[in-house]
Amino acid sequence: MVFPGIDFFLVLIIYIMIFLIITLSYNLAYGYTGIPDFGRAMAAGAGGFLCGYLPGRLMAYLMGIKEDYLGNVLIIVDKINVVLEKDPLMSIGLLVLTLILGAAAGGILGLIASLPLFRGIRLFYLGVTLLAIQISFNTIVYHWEPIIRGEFGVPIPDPFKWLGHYCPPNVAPSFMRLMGVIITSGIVLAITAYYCISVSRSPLGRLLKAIRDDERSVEALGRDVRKIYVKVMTVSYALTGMAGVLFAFYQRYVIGLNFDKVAWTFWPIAMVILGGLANNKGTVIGTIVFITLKRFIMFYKADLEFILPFSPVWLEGILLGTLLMAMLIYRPRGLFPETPEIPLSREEIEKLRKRT
Amino acid sequence: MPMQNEGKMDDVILATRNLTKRFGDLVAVDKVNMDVKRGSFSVLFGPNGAGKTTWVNVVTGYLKKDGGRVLFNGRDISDLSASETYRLGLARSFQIPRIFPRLTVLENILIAENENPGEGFFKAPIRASWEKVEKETVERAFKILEIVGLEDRWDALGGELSGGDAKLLDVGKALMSGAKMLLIDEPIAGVSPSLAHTILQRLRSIMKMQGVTILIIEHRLDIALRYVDYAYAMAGGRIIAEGEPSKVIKAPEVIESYLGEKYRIK
Repeated sequence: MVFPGIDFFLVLIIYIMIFLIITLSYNLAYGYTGIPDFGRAMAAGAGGFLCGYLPGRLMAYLMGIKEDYLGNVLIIVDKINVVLEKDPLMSIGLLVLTLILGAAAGGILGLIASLPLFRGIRLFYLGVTLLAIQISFNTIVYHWEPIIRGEFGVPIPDPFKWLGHYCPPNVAPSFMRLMGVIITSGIVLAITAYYCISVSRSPLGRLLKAIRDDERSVEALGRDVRKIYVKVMTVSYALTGMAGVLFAFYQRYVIGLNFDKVAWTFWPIAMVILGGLANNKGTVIGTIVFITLKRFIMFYKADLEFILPFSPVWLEGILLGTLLMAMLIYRPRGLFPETPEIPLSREEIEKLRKRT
Repeated sequence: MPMQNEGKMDDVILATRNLTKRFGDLVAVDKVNMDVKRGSFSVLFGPNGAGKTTWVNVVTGYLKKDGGRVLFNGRDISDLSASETYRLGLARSFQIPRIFPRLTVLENILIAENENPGEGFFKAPIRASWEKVEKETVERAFKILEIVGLEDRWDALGGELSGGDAKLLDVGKALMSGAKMLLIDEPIAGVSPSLAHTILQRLRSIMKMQGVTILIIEHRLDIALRYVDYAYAMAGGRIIAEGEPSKVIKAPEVIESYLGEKYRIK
């Protein structure tokens, strides 16, 4: 049996961080607000496919390349990478700009996808509608070649290439690149985690939980609940959009089959359920456990071929599906069930109580 | 029966004029004219299906009217939504208390305050932007909790409360909003007689201390009529009697609507 090397663990960290951005933002929408969102993959796809569409074309325009972009995409992206390799500022600028635009694309998609709420659609049906919109979204990207050449996909300019160019002689460029992805993902994850955790411990978090428990009652208390749903979807999809950008940049290639509903919608739901709804700590643990297990199963798949009575291709789904079912039966509230998160500390509240 | 609207319109906080609501062929609320006096504690009663809750739903914007007008503090609120009506100071509670089960008692009260900047999507992560307001709101919430007698249970989850406490918490939520008038649907349904008295005593003291107008919808008249100043009887979607509680309860129309034709006082 082969033990995984350092690259395996670096990639594992990248996957964990990217999926943590998704699950924390998903927890905001589903765990805290109760929106049954079955369309999460399109939020990641908005960022990921935008990454395949925009940065390459933008760079080609800036470099004065007049050739048909999609027809010569491999050569053009190679030329772009040569420039990016020697220009850290340009690379960082491209990375930051794409992240911002990815967040905007995700946010706009979240806003549009939740608009049926204003037509009086009920929350459960919104969940189903989101699933339908997501399938349509993926079908369009897969079949409409002018976006990213559908099933053939496109290479993406690499904003981390300069790290390999400037790395010390005894360090592998690929290692430096992975470190670049990790640091960038870490920054985006820190922003996401800060936002989601702060919100959960704020008056807004309290309001979101109240809406989840009884939206009609919150309406009776003077809030426009539909507007709040739309805002949550916009913010949550924007954060997930950045995760899509990070994944696409990490892969350096995006195809129409990426960001499918199983890996990018259903697995994140499973991670959040595993950890515990409306509990950010649970979401973090659930995601780490789930991704680690998944990556190890994938790594040892070939070794298991001779032991298992079935193809190891199915092992990942069987194990994770069984784990999820067991969780729902024995610990339906997850590894870390929801606990009250009060904006002010207990001591502060007692002090205020005494004062009154 | 003396009509309350004989007084000045300034004394009236809530009025309906020919208010009508239909469900297909059924006229649930039939041209109801009703005036509720400012600062009063009144009861609206009537047999099942009389249209009481429908009237409340239409008045508070939960159902769209089919005709007539609703006036609150002299302003026409007929076409306002539930949230807009609430913001004007007309709060309601439901037959079954609408408590947030996974929030603490204190948080249930705090939710009723809808001017907290910490509920904004940009300000929420910045504690400094809402901390001061939050502290002031918590202080106010404790005053309300004291009024409804739940201050010692502030950290219990809403779902852990008994039926009676849940009803009091519901009232507390309405008070926290700074409501000028409360419409409370069956505040003492399903609670023991002693707790029913406690609840109505508290409501009465709230009415006196806070100057809030309270209209309850209630079936348990043996208890409720002891506490209210004014009574409205409803049947078949119409107000059939109103006035002093002891007189309204004896009105022939009221007896007939509850017990039928043969019990009519000749």
